[in-house]
Amino acid sequence: MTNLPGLEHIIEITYLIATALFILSLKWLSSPTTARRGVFAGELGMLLAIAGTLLHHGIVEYKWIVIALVLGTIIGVPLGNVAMTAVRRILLAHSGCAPLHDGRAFTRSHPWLADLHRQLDGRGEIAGGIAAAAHHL
Amino acid sequence: MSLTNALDAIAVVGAIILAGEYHTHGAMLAKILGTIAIVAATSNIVGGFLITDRMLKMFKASGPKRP
Repeated sequence: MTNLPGLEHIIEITYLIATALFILSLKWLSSPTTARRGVFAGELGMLLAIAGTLLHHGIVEYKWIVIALVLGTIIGVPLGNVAMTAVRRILLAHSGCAPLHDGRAFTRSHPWLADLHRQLDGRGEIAGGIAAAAHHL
Repeated sequence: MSLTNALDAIAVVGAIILAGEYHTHGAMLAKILGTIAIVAATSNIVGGFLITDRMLKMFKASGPKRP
């Protein structure tokens, strides 16, 4: 990558926007009504962070990065399309706290999740699992 | 929930720096490990976001309240 004038500033601004989007994402994720917006903000922030890093002048070889990103996506898509009943286990495994926390206990300790649990015929357990995973990061 | 994925983006950034930097022949290991790290972290990001999105779709579809 040639060292264009102003490129460093562009990278810095990209990182700044990505950071702001991550913070907004976490804020929006705290409420069920804005959670989807929070997910999109997180995705956008992540893309900006990766794009900013790829522009960095220290990065000289792109071949393996592109191969790795494509391979990771190919592996990730089936992971995202598993049966809903396996979601809690996967999310807890992802965050590395599967042996530490049970979503069921977290659901009981948070009234709004317990209410959701009733409404969704027990599927609130999944939400409890996610919340427990997020809570303990 | 997506915090896990957001943290993984930071892992990807670090891995990209490792895999994309200029290395002499002796430092090939860093490139190989960086590439493996990108694959692992990207699969986690993509899978995690897809699952989160599917789950949040379930939240939106709230029917009439049962008695």
